[in-house]
Amino acid sequence: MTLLASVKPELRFKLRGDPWHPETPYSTEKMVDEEPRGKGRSGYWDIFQLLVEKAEDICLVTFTAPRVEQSPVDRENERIWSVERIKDIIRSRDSEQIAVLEDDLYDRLNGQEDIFSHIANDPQELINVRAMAARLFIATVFRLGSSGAHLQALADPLSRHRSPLIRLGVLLGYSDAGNMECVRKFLADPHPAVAEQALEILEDAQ
Amino acid sequence: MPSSNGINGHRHKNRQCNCLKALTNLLDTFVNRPRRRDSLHDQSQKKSFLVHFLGKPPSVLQIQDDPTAEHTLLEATCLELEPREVDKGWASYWEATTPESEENINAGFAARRPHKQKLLVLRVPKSTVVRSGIEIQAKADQEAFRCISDLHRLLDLSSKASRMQLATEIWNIIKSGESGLGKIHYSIKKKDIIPLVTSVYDRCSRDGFQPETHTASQWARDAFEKR
Repeated sequence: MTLLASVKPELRFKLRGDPWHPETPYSTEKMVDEEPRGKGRSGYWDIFQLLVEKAEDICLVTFTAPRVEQSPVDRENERIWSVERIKDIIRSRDSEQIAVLEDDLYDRLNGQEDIFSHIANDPQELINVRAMAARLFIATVFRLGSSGAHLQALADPLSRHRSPLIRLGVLLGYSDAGNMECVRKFLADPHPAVAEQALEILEDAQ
Repeated sequence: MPSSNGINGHRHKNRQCNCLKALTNLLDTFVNRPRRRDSLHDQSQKKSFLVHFLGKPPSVLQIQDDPTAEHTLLEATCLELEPREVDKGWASYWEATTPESEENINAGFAARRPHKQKLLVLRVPKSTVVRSGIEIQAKADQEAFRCISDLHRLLDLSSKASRMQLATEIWNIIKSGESGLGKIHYSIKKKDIIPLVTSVYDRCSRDGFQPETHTASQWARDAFEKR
């Protein structure tokens, strides 16, 4: 089900429906009261209010079909699909195409952002795929704000990963999220290329 | 009959020998010349680089001593060399014959990007690509600055084998620390982009190749006007 709402483009969210009552017609009340990650009114209801209050530009808010508990097979399929999209991002030279691919990933992994972290930590994956997954993961965690708090526990070990390329991905993710406080921490990174990149980001931000 | 056959056979063999000698002489004449040409060609190739712009960072080439990268290094490099689906196996490269032309190429590419962005540059000696047996086609890019439009090249990297070959050569150069070739990979910082595009704009204009600014992004056109 889709709802046309009048909101600023940067406030676009993909809101998830109610997993326990798939037959129940969607309403904002229902959606919020029975929201699957248990954030209740303080979560999606507030977001919806914000969308309405900040209404300026027209955009589409999508209420996706209810998500049922995923089987390990489904989750593995999501992981494989995500790796392929990340490879498409790496192959691409076109920033607009990259933005579309990233949106596609964020939409599909909505609520399963930890998959990015698992890819980044998987030694079987290509090192640049892992580093890009780390970048996307960190950018997502900080874009989600308080609703991504449960993912922060996965972000910290990535920041200290033994691979400098993965740490570079993490640093770029913080930069994407505009978190300059975390970027500054990388000035002391043991690898000179990572530390130099942190300095460059901070200089560009000034 | 047998002797006659033998004599005829001997004569025939003699004729064959003479023909072979003549052929050998002829081959010597023509094969040696191209050899000399090849060596000149090799020399010019050694001075040429094929420049390629990498996509969104992090790139595996940015950190060349990552201990966790070793076992997937070549495969990861292959992925970054892989042409996009729309390119049908042909990857876009630029041939730089002088340091100035390399600067022009970097500036021309940067100016067409929608945003002022850091450039990640891969710079492979042309001789390496030729030695790898990868087909190179000259394909002018009419949208590029006029001073570089004829330097555009397409490399046939449609097969995994060709990408693997190139990736192997790239890492051989990196690991051997080959001197005299300069860095095989470097980056141009965001803050250095505007000075680069404006200086190249001036140089191309001075050389009679006034860059076509309509294909440049707005930020670059603004920079040309402000200079």
